[in-house]
Amino acid sequence: MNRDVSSRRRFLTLGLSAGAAFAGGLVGCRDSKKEPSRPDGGGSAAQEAGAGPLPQGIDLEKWNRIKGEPYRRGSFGLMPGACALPGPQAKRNWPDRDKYKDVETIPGMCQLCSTVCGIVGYVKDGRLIKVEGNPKDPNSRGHLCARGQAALNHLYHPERLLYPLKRVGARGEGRWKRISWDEALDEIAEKLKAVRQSGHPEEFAFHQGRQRSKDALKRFLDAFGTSTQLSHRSLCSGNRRAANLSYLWESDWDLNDVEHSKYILNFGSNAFEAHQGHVPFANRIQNGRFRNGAKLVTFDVRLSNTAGSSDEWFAPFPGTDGAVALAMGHTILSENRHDESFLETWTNVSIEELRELYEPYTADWAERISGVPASDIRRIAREFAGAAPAATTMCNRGSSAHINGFYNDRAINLLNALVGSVGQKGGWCWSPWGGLDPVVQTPPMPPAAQTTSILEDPPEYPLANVWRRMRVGEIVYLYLLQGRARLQAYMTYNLDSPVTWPEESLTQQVLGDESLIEFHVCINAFYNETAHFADIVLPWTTYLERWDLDARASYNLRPYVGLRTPMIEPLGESRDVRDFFPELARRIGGGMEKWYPEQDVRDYMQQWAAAVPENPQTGKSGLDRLLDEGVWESDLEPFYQPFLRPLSAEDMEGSEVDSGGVILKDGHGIGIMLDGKPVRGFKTPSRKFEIRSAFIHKIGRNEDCSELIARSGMPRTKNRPAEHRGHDVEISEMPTWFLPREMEDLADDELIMTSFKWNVHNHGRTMNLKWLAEIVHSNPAWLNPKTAHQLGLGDGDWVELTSYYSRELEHRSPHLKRADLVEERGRRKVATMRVPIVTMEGIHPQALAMSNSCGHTHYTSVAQAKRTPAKTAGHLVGSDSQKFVDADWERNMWWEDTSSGDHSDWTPNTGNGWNQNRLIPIAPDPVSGQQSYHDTVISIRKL
Amino acid sequence: MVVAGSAAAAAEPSEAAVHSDKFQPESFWKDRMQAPEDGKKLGWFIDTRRCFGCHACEVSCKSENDVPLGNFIRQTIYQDEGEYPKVARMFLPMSCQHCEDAPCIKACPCGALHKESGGTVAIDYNTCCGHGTCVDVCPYGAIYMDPVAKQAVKCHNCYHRTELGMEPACVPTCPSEALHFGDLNDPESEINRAMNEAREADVELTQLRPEKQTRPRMWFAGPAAEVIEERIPKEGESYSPDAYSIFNWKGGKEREAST
Amino acid sequence: MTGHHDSPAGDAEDLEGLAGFYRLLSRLWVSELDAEWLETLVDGSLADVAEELEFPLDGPREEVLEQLAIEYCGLVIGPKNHVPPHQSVWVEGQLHGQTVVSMQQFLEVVREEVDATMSDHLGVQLGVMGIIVESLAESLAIAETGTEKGGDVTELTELARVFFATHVMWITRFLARAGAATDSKFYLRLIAVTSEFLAEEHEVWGVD
Repeated sequence: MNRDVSSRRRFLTLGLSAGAAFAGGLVGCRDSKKEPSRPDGGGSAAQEAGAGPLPQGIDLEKWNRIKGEPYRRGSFGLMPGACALPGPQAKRNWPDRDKYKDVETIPGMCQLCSTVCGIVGYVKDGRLIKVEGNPKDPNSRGHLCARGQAALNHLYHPERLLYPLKRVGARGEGRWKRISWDEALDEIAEKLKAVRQSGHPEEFAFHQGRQRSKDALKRFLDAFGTSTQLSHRSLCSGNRRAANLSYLWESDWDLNDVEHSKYILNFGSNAFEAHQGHVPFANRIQNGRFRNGAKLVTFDVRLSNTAGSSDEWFAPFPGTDGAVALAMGHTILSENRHDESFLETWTNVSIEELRELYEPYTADWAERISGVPASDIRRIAREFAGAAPAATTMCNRGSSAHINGFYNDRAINLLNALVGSVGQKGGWCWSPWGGLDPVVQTPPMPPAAQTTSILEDPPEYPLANVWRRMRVGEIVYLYLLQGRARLQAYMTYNLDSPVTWPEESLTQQVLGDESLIEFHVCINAFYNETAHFADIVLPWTTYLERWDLDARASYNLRPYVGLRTPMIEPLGESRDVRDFFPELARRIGGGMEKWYPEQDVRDYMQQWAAAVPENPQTGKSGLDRLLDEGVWESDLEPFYQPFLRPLSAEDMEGSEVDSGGVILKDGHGIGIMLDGKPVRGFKTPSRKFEIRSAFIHKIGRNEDCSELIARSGMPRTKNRPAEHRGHDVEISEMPTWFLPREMEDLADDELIMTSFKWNVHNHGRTMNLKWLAEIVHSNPAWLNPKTAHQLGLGDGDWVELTSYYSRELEHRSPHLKRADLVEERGRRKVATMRVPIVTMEGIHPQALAMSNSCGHTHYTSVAQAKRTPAKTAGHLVGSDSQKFVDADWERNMWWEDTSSGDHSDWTPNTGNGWNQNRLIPIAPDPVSGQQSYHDTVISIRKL
Repeated sequence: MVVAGSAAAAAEPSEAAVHSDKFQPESFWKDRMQAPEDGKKLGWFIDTRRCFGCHACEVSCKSENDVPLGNFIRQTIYQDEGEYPKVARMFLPMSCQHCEDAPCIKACPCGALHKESGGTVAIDYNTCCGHGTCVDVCPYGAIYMDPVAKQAVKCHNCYHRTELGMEPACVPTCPSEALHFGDLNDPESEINRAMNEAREADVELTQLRPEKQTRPRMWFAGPAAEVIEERIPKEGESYSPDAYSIFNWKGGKEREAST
Repeated sequence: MTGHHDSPAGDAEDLEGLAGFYRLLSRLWVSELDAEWLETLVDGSLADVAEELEFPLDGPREEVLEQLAIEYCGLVIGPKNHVPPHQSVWVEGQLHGQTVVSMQQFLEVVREEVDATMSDHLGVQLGVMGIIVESLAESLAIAETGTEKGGDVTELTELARVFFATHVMWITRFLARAGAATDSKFYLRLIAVTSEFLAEEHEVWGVD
């Protein structure tokens, strides 16, 4: 021992002087549940906890009970401790045979994507130790993808937000201080009260990313009185939903019955990696293939895992899926392979009209446009028709996220009608139960707010908000910048718009501008690119720490309901909106508070889940049953051929039948006469599968559609409001197709950029999960080797990409006024970015693919691929024992990019990639507002 | 090399096991090569036709076993095959083969490697002192040295779960139902059902590197095992994070030229 | 020395000083300073101690308070590039690990209640060490008077030793990283003082 006596003596002396300031116990251990401690002996934690004066404060009996343990089974080997400390240190008793002893299993629902698979959490000593799929979930059947398996990374991330933070310094400067929830809520309430009093409640906008607490959000916003609730639906699925609605009205979501199919025709859906129905859908596709003999054929610009494991893959030129689908229809009709009975009985056009419609769309025409061989188009059309009715198309963003995406999906859906697989077992199905209602009833809600905002309902997009409120998310920041709307207060929730929205720099500019967004509250479990531009950041709970009832449109074609419940106490001071919105409402007052009668969240959940019936085996019903099993599935018949369901005498009482056979009751359509018998039919104005949609044509022109709406029996459908007048859009009532004009004359160095999602990531939130980021953390641009060769490029070479604005949009949507984008080479330039390339056989030679999810700048250090924390400088004093090294925290992120930006030093598969949204322009489909993610023209230059 | 054959045929030793000078004398490991007699014969069937490379099994394994970054008990290896426009993507979920004639047991100088019930090849951590000889002799690269513990780590069939009636962590999560684990001696077991279903569909069941004569307890359906065989680590190697690099699984002529 | 009872850390008075120093460090680490504690350190009962330790706290009170709050937040709360003050992160790579379960046990031993997330915070751990050392000091003092048996001294010494090894030693790793991550004058000084102190303590309690 070479103890420095004088130094130690000094500490002891100082400690003696200091000790007088402390009365004992733990001092100043700030805890939301307690008053802060005071110096000089006041209010120590020990006294508050009711402990007596020391040394009686030490419980030596307790110590004697626990102290033997570490010596017997401490994971640290010889390191003593009060109980076993695990970690990657020297292993003992591994795997631990006691791991699953004395665990509590708690059901929940995943929320790392929108598929919301049922999960089970194993909880031991108040800690979640493992998450698995819930086998009782009828949709996901106990399976869980890699994202769901990374739940522990999410919940226990070292950089989770634990306390409310308030900005200091300029917005976006990144300087913060901790504040209490009281301070935070007071400040937010004061601001929101002022917005309300200003007479412009619509200038409070709520902007959600992925949300599964619809009731809680809507309750707060309606109680406040704003309907400016913004979403990302148009960045996701607006066109697909609009195309489905145009045929069905009843549902915006096709549920392809792939498990019972013989033929699955996939246009641009990557169900094996992403897709809103991901795990349940993918599982059923494989069962259809390997248990039912189905063939899977995929059309996709890029070889996704779905395409790569399909029976056949074709890469059409980007955005030409609809042309291929129309040509298949042409073959089916011209070779009389169509289902005449279905078309005659259940569609609102004649076969002759269809033949006329399809006349120009030959397979040879489609080959010229798409590059897919005409012989394959014809062959696949025959195979598809031959397998019907157990044949279905499937599609998603690959076909729909284009400027012509609405028409792509209209054309694809129509194939199912041609072969009569609509609503058939193994065919193209849907269900009316997209969410929870009417399985369970939400406790009484405030009346819907009646404000209007151009941000929530832009007048230029006729199909965005007529059947459902889909909104047009990608125009929000542009319209704010253009001064078309202003925001006094902006509340973001689970949103990472600078990364997930098109035009990263414009998004950042608007978020950072206090004259455009006066006040910004960000609710999130992590600091991210959106929080960076907030004024107050509220630490949100994860999906493993909060309550919801949740469900998706199930592939079993019948409704179910699942429960999300706190598996553990929320970490730190994180809180869910269900928990703090009532408090905020009471502080704002003015009547808001009355929508939050005194009750805790559990009471609310009890009321909400009351309709869940008793399980005869357990005797439990309602919330208790859900807490037990996690999920309840109704026993309703699967939703096959709903249009054939007969109407009862009771249904028919007081009804009348019009000349078209449509049955009306009180002026509303309820069915249609089929061979003299009343049946339900489709819930469209014609009560048929509407190939010709008078509605979309009229609504585009701002014409009154009240009569059509009444006949459909879908009374929630709306005419466009008065503010939309003057914003007419020509929408073809029949399926059609066009090639966006910017694609007509690509130069040799111009390509179409497409984007995609990896199977281990969602768009904006998973890159901070270490087990996922380890697998995929970077996104070099995919280029066909033939193209690369022409450009003199090879693997790992760096290029500069320049993106251009759509000429089609300049023509069709002049209101977007992108004069801010300078002209270059006859196109308007959006942005440039430097990235490396990887040559891939699996991509169309005129396409370039970059995945999303990458390129975070303000998300956690894992997402930024930075070793954390800052590298140690200098000497470690004292007891620096190897036994305290954690392999992940201190040696983590082997994929850190150490090149300091020097491309020649860059090692492939290092770094955190690039945000492809830096290049992608704001490009809403003029019909529905769907963001066109897959048809940006870019030029490429070797560096 | 991948060879087709029925489970029974592959389980029969047709010639003497491949020898390594790293093996200990037989008397040292003979007892440890014997699983406790309980009538069970645990094995794996990987239906690569169904696998779509989602990585759920690997992440579930990381979560279950707290595997440090950069190390893997199991890994799904990708490979693109063919030239545009005829391209396919193969996926091969890899982990310890739980060989009946396990080289790791023969080579372990501290006597830590042994068989648990049903033939699970496992490591006793009171004994393992991290020589790493098992890594040197594993023909499938299925063992890694823990960077902090300095001990060998490999798949243990999650015996801490199966003893309680649970499945290994990777199995139930698999969205494609490609992974099957269970008792080959039980005609009613799920793994026998799945293997029989494949056989009835005239699907060939293959094993990896049978020339190593280790009698692995893992069978594969589909072409991925053969296609990806060359990318599976071998003696002296472990699963590497580089396997995830798109530059390594991209396939195509350029890659062939560079390897 | 007859009648004089000692522990590895010294006699009763030494331990009282040691406990005081742990408590001081605990308070300085457990959260940012509030107005009252700043007052105590600048003009109050701890002014001499703060001066001796060369804590840079000069300046207008409000400004210093605000500045320290920002610096504390940036160092250990975040929202980014911070150095997590929770032991679980350093030994298990995550928040709320098995370490928290262990800490909850020790908190029961010292009859304290802290919410789970805070329980493996270094500020709490230094405070718990302070409580243990203080009770050891009192036990020694009682033994020195000869009126009570000194039996608890052995138990409490073992408790201190085990707690230090399990839940205090790791802090030096944190300090090394924290020192590289902040340019706050106050917190750099606090890091230096804490490092030096723990190095001394390691000599006393450390298990090698």
